[in-house]
Amino acid sequence: MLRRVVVYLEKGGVGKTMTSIHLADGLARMGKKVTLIDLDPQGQCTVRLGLVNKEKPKIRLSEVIRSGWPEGMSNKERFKNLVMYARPNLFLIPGSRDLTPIQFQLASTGDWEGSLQRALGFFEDSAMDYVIMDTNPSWTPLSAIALFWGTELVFPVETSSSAAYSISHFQDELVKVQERKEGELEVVYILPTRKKNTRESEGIVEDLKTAYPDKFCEPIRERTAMAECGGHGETIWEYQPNDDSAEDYMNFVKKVMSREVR
Amino acid sequence: MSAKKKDRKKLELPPLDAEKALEAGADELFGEDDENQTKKTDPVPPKKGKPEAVAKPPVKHSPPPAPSELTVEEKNGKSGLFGVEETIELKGPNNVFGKSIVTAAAINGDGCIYIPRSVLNKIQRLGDEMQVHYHKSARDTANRNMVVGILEYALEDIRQKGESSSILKRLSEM
Repeated sequence: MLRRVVVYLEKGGVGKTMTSIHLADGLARMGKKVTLIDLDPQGQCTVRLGLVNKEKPKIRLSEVIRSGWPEGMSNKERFKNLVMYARPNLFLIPGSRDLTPIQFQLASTGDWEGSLQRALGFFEDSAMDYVIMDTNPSWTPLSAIALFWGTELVFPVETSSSAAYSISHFQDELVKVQERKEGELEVVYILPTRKKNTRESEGIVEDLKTAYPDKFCEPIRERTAMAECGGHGETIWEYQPNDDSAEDYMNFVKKVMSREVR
Repeated sequence: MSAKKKDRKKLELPPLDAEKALEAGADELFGEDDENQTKKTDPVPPKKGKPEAVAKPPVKHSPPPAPSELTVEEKNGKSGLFGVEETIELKGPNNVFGKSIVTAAAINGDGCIYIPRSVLNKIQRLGDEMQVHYHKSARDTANRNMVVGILEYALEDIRQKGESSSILKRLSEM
């Protein structure tokens, strides 16, 4: 069964892209078939996976959302035209600037609920295990369509007060989505990121753990290697596999794998 | 060569033809005979214009709890309840401002918001109608701004919107 995981938080700079990449690559390393979908027009997943100079897919996601698939194209052809190979077991639908104007179309039609299902529903007919969706900061039509298609949600919460505060704002929006999805989307993982050895950081982690005992994930420690690896186009397991953050992210990957989808 | 460099060298992936890898992946995922298959989930053309209004299904939630007195939970000998009294009556075992606010305050899942001593003065100035107790094990001042911000947000929402406040609405659904 295809698991559709959205990595989302309104605030920027909390580690959404790094979490998306490492969740996707970690699952792929564990033998799962994974597609990472970059719904951020900045296209940072492509950069951080070192795929900038690789040949891009022939068909862009924005085109499919806008116009649908060409008639008669098989699922396999769709896949080959839409994704690029990233790592063993890991494929990428890259983000690009042309996702920006799509937001205006989505905003004007209000057609959010079925957009990604129409574009990517064919994944459900494949042996793909996971799609991981990296979203852009703030509540936009792009993040909305991801939340409508997704069934599991990861909140990467930077261990600062402002990031934790933004959860409360997002929950208002989440309620709206859940009402329209009849409760399909769950907040499943609260993942503290960039944990420092400071009282502030540790206090917030502790508070999150207390408040969300069933959703809390062990934090990702802030390490220099984690900040550097994306710039080298590598994941932490390629760049510095013995780093603490590599261990932290793998623990998170295992937690996601162990969860039984309701 | 440093240990770090050795690690990286060891894990370098062999060069791989991305096109062949994609082809192989597609075969594995969709089967080798998929090329001529008709897609099971043919796309529906995107809707044009505003979608028709569709009645939302009723939200499933637990029935509201029977009104009861606000409970004050004792922890380590200290009260930990934040409540709004007199002007707005908020009651129920899960009090106070609804799940999102309570949990975002990130203090305790029992429905109480525990507030650091250092935050007390800031909160008290928000109004006489608020009664605040604190819990000695509440987190340090790092959470001060967050907690105060959340409480201000919640209180202001109720002040401005009264019974139409979404926070009150959520409370009634808990």
